[in-house]
Amino acid sequence: MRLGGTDVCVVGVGTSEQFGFDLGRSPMRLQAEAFTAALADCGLDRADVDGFATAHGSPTGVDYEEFTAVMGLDCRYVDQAWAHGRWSTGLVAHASLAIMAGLADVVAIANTVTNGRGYARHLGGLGGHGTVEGLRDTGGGHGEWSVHGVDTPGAATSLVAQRYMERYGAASEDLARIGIGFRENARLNPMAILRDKPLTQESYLREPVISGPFRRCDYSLANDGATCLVLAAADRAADLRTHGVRVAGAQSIRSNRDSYVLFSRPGLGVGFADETPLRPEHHPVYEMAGVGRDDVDGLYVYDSFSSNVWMTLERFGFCGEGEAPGWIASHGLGVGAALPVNTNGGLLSEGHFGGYNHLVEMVRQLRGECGPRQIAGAEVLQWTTPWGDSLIFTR
Amino acid sequence: MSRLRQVGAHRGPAPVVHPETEPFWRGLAEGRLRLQRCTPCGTVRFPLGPVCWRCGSFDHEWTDVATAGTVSAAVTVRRATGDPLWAGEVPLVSAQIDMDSAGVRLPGRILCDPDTPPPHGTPVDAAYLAAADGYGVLCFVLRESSQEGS
Repeated sequence: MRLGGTDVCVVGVGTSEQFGFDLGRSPMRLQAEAFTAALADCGLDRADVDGFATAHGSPTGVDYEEFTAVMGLDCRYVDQAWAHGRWSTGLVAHASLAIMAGLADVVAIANTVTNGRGYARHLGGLGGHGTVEGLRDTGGGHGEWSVHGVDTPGAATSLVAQRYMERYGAASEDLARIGIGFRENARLNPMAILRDKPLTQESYLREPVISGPFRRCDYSLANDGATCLVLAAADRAADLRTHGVRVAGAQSIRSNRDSYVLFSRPGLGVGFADETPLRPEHHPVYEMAGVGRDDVDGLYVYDSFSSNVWMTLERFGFCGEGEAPGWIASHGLGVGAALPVNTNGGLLSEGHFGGYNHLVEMVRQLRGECGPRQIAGAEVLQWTTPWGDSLIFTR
Repeated sequence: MSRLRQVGAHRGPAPVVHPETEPFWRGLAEGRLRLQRCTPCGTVRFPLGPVCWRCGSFDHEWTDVATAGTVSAAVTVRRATGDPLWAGEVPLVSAQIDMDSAGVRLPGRILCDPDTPPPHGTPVDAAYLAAADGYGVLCFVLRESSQEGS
């Protein structure tokens, strides 16, 4: 993406010192760790940061104005989205546009997640149960209907997976391959929370069912930790000690009646939408990045639930309608696959950090810093979600 | 239009009812499945809302719709990981139902054996659970058991 002749790069990345279920550290502490690490990564100083953006606010994360006050920042551009894991593309695209338009020179995007069994238990204010949106007239954006007993994203998404599995004949073994594949990837990532917990078809099938076809390993983790990405114009990036990774292309969340249930895909016939064959969509992210789908060296998917991977592979045309389970069985998801997917272990096994952990991984992959899980010759990496937004980062 | 049967009491969280949506929730408790139909274009809509998604008109009337439907997808929720109010109700079957003539897909529980959630295409009929404040919560029953009861 380019505006006024300016390209934007991710120049620095950082995380909290650890990712875990209960780190004993406040959201502010975790976010300060990630922010400090990202600045140290690229050699910038706090005084260089004049833009700040986040999605995950209080009480389980940190609101923008708390952070600028506590960190002693002086920002002329700020942005805060909604505390859901759906804004990773939006925050990066908007921060890039802000830099291109001259609203800021250096934007830090920091996000912190804490959970009810971790530090969030000290913070109170975790009001309501599941997602409160499930009580809206329209139900929740993941398909929750709290009055009907599907009051969590997981129960709601299990309806999506159930419809998919009945329509296309997929089995529990197919779902299991997703969690197993990402768990294998996690074994090569020292930050992955479940790096030391092997998962097999047998152990997967022994897990109790939680809702519909979903077992525990179909759910992403509830955990504590923080991430930070630092963005700057490409000419500024050239002066820094890190290799700037270009934000080459972006496309937004698609929002309409057929995309209401976020963890579905158009045409599946869940939510308010008609059941139709999968219709090919235009994905301008590729043209903007100047690449084709076949140029993608690695794919990063918002895997809050395992079945999201099916939806995303089909929506973006990596395989045909109903073919994702077979595609995964034959191609695999690992670093050595023709198209590696979620080399960090994903939200399912590295941890749920809103997808920003995938973006951090993409930057490290494009810099060639990933050791045993490095995608050989990685030059083009794509971020995707079932609800249609995408980013392409290039080396 | 056939009347809905009351098949039990609602034990989950109370629905959020406000003046613009009250006819739906009040209607259920009266045994009626009422939805909004757009006056100019005739579209019956769901979710409830002040505007027709098809033509943009605000003009609508509440209309009784046919209660027969078929299962789009149904799942058994075995663990209540959200609101603890559901802890005493699981396992429960919850579903999306394609309504045969209204052309909308409606959410609701299916009161049936949780060990055999009905597959796609299973015929069901709308029913209701009595909730507080004179409201009802939509649910469904399998077509056979519905006939036994009628």
